[in-house]
Amino acid sequence: MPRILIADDDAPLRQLLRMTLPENGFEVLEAGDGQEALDVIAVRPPDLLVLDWRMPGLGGADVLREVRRSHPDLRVIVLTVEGRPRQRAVAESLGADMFLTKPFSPLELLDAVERLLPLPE
Amino acid sequence: MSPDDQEALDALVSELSHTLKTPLAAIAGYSELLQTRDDDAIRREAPRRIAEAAERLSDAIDLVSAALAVDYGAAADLEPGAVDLSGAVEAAGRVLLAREERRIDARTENGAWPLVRARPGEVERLIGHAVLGAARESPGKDAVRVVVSRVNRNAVLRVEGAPVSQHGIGVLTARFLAERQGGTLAVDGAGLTITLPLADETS
Repeated sequence: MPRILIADDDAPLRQLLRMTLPENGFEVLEAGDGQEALDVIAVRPPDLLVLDWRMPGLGGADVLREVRRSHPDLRVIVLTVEGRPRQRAVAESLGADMFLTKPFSPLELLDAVERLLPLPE
Repeated sequence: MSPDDQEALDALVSELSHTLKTPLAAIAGYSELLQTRDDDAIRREAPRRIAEAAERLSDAIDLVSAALAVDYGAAADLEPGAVDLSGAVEAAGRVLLAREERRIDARTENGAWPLVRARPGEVERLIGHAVLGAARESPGKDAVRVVVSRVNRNAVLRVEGAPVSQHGIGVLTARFLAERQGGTLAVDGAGLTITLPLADETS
């Protein structure tokens, strides 16, 4: 079963993302900050990382930089609050696969996950 | 603006946006799940989560409002002086370029750029809010056109473009700043017009 890690410092948003994903379709893990995300990835590497760009302490950029070094094949969806070119350019240069801009539709998330991981039938 | 200052400003704006949009994402997301999914767990969880997120969003808006009051209140005692309007337009142009990747196309109609009577820093912010609003109302254009003229004892800045809403935060802030200098701001179907007292006309 594909494993997805949701890294976002907002607990209600993590719960929303978890509820959006098909039940019994994925193993869903959560991390409340960047360091916790890296700790989880080291022990239970996911197939897909949903990564909030702004988190306290280690932010999305720091996590993505480290992930690309340690797990270059991990697919990453970055959650941003702005569609500004600069932020997306930085994330792209660090290896993000896709972007979602808050507030996004749960259907947008499902579409992004489906593009990067085949959904179970 | 130095690169360090720009980076600090970008970080502030991003943090503000994150504070407001994260609970908004929860509200929008749970609402959509309620509408599209026939799921007992969602029906149980979503109303509580939406209410929690709405409260957090309300608190965040209160903080932003308080910060705005501090920001503008702190400058209330500064004495007005003579401000070079060309410099103020140039400063606003740098903000527009950084935020929207658009430029200001500015010209004067009758002579040299005027000096206006205003508090330090506020004319730049006034014009910045005005051109930012116009830029967002005119997608696809690479420049916001500003025409400056002298009419009686005032400098008049005409920011041209698509109709600008009277009720946007940018317009409201710009009007507040214009009136603080003893000027006016009016919105019409083709843009907005700012009047500011000329520095060399005041005694």
